[in-house]
Amino acid sequence: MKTIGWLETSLQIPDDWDLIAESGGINEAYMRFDSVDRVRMELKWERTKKRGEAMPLLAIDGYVKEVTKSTKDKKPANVVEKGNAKVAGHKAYYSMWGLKDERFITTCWLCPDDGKMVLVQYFLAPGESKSDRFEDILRGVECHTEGDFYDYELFGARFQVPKGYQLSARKILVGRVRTSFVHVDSALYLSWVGMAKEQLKKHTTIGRFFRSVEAPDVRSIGGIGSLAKKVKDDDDEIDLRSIIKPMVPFLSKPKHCRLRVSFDEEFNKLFTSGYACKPDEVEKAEAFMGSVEGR
Amino acid sequence: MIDIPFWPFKKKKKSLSRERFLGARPILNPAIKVEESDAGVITLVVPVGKSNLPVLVTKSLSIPNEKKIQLDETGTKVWRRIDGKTTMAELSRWMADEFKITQREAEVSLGIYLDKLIEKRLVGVVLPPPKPGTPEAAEEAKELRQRSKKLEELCRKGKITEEQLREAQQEIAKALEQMGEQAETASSA
Repeated sequence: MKTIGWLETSLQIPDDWDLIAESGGINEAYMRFDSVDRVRMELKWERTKKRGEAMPLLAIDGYVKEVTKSTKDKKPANVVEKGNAKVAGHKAYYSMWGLKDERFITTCWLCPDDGKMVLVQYFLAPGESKSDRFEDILRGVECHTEGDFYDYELFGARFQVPKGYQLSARKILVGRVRTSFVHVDSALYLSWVGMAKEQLKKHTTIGRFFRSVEAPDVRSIGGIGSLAKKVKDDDDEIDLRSIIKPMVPFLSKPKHCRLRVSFDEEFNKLFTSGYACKPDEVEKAEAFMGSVEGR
Repeated sequence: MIDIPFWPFKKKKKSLSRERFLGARPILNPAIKVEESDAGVITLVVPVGKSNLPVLVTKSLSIPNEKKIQLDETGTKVWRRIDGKTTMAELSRWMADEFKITQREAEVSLGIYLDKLIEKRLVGVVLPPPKPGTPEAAEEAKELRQRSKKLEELCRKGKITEEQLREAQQEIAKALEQMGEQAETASSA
């Protein structure tokens, strides 16, 4: 099993599965996991303030109806089993149902800790039973965390994002992932590339690598962008800090900015991280930057 | 009447399932020579087809009869791994280990790289048969049946012998059988 942490959710999936699609991250989120030959699981969550115990049951029914409606013949689903389980300490409801030759398990629960409703749609493989894999996967789902940070773990990188920061932009490319998180006036930035040794051989210095690969994206992020302009071609180390004073001092606070490029030799990765935030957010932003590591 | 396809210039690219992609075995084009530099980087020497221009013109213009393609370090490492036996799954596992990237990243980058090599005809790929009953199998079977008909036509025109036709059709029938498809056209012919 391997860990995937993304969009405020962490879960354990079999080694031969991959995160194939994802979207959202602010008020709702979606992730899809595929094995080599088929779709295996979908995970969705949406923020909700409702606390009614029947909410997950209604959500399951609504979801099943939606799926059956989208089929050509609109035949009703064949519900085989219904029950409840415990997921991440919450009471969850599940429904095992079939449509044509396919069988599914839809599980839904409310996570009051994070104010979310989570729905997991599991696609059973032919001949697979509920206890084969699904129960293990469900046990590994973490829809909330106890501390002040969410654990992110994806595409060879691991980091922690402070609660309250929401994923504002991401670009997942082959060998390069770029993310930024925002919270009111503060922004966190993280980007990483694989095959770092090969990249450094090509660009010769970290400065040249940054200027040709990272700088065009970093420039658009207020505060960090101004630090990007200070990077020189010959730089072999990049860790820059600055404080941007406001135009009218008594109306707003200064912005603390940092930009760092680090080379992780063990995992062959180049991480570009940075922040631009108000003084009271610096501690969290530093913790975010300190948590970045390869895996 | 001339049979013109709906959009004659656009060639539809065949889709390949991930399972089949991972089972594929890339093979090197034997016509390509390899030169190695002191730094261990490979240069491919690709023969160029003869020009239609008169000999005098080609000589005066000094048109080369081969072109050289230099691979980078990563490309060289991948090229060395292609032996006709190693599958894409094995290659991507090796690549993930070698460059410390995820399995999926390795698969995608290998796919892109090999696609380029295939386009330039530097590498070919031996594909495993598609899973019986899948749309991929039906598409492939349709193509094989069409090929079988074309061969019959060529035989009628005397461009290939009956023995050659029989041999080719036996191969097609075997491939169709592996895909769980009926070899009606092939066997009836």
